[in-house]
Amino acid sequence: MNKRYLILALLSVAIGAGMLLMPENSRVKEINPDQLLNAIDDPSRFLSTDLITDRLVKKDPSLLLIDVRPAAQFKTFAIPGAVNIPLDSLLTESSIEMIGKKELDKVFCSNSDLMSDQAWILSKRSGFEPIFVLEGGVNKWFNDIVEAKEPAAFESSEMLALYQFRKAASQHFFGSPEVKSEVAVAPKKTTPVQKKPVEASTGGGC
Amino acid sequence: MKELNKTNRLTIVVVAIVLVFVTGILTLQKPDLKYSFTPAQSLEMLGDSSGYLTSGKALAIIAANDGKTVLIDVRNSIAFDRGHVKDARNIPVRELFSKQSLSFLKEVEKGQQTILLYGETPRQANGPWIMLRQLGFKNVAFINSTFGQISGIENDTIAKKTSLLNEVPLIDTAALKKLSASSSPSEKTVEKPVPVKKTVKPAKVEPASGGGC
Amino acid sequence: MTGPLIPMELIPEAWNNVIALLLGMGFGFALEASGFSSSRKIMGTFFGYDFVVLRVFFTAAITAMSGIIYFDFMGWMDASMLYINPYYVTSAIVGGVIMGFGFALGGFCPGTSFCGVAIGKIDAMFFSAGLFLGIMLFSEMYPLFSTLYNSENLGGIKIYEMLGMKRNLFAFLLIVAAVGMFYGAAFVEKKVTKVEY
Repeated sequence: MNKRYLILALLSVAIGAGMLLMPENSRVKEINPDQLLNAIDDPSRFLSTDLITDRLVKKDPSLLLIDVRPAAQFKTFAIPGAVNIPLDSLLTESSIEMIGKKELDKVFCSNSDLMSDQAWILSKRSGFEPIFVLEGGVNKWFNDIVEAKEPAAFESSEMLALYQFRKAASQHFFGSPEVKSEVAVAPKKTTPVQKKPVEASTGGGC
Repeated sequence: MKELNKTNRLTIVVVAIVLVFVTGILTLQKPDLKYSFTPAQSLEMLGDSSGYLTSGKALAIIAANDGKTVLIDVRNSIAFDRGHVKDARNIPVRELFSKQSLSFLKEVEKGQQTILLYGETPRQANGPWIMLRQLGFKNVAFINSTFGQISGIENDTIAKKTSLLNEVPLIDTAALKKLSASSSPSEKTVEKPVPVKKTVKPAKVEPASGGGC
Repeated sequence: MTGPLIPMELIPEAWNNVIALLLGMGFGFALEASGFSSSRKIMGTFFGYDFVVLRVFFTAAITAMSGIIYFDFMGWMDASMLYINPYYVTSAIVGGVIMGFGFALGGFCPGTSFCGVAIGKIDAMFFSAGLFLGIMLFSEMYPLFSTLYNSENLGGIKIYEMLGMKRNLFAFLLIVAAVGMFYGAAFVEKKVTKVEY
């Protein structure tokens, strides 16, 4: 056999052996501190309550609202459609399955946007995308949507339209307050973290 | 055999490929900054309440001025020039990891002083606080109140909405009961989000307008 | 086709066609340089007197594979962003049989037939004409085939995931297998009587 071919064969085997020494990269890549700091400084991750409400009302299937408050608070009140992943169980396997879904827009919310932002930073560091934070959190959502305040007469028509949208959304979630049913106050149903088997991502290249 | 005459070309190609690989491995850049904690450890660290300071405590520390703390203002330089807490040093969020600020922060850490971060809102100081903690700084805390509260500015529009800034549930339960009484239970069940394949719309991003901050 | 650089917006979308053209020229050059414009040389694989097809394609495969793995490691590209064709089991088998039949009959595969056309081979010209005719027929009769065509979609699966192996280990084994195959092919070539062409 020609010497050249022998050398080539040895070389390709050596290259292959080099691969064995490489660390097998995990499913998601952690981003380095510099990138994370730049991401933190970028306010575009904050989505307004109205935007989220609009997507909730339209039942946008690509939206996943993640409530990071403790389970007890989630039970008392939660935005309809939200899923509860308490902050301290953010990195458990079942939560990572949810946060790791590439095709969903994950929006974190907590009472304000402090805890949700912390959840966002840690998820961002672990390389999960696309993730967002609900600006103002559940408190602001409750203020804006459920207790929407009628704008004064002199305010612009845009404000009035916004108010009507909020009012309609509130009625969509909780029904009209005028119609009083005779059903006793039912305890609010809560959804635990839904466990789903890991699906192999079949999405195409993006 | 014909191919043997062509092996010269083959050798050139192979050498070129190997050169590419070697230069790639030689220029492999190790990031300058490394996390000292895994995400799980950082998550645990978030529960450490010594990292959060209420405005009252912060004001006491600022008043005491015993040299044990170094105040860092993470707002941008324009806001800093317009007014800042006495003796505070300005390190905008984006410059936190510049060589200059890192060496300064390391010196502070060496001198057994506590780094105290504050921003326009708690949220602004929160990010830098987590980052510094993750990089291994131990004596870091942030002030969990607005700049207006600690600098004593009157007419502070943000501070009036404190309800929106802290992690305290402020749900009007009376109003809630009224609501839940009128709605049928079926409406409250949370729908499972259906994963959509390939049709993910680009997320609309709204500039932070109005709102709490 | 043009890698993950365009989705990452390192290269504007407009360059897509230019890069594709350059890659196509490179591909054609490599095919012609390996003598693939000769249908006799290609058929050597089936009759055992010339295994150059096997060598070229396996070399290309392991080179590209190690390139992707190394570049991914060095951070020059993101292997997870590569598009993987979904695997349709039935249509892959049926298509493979038809393609192999045409391959053995005509002595060209689609790419090499265009190489043959480029250097003026008449058989290659007929082959390419038949190719376009076949494409047209298939497109016209697509509704007839569509159920077969779209059945048993396994998605973008990877062999090493199906085998439950580590990616790099699989890559290493593939390289070893390829080198072993080259030596085996050379051994067979020696045994079989030489065909002059």
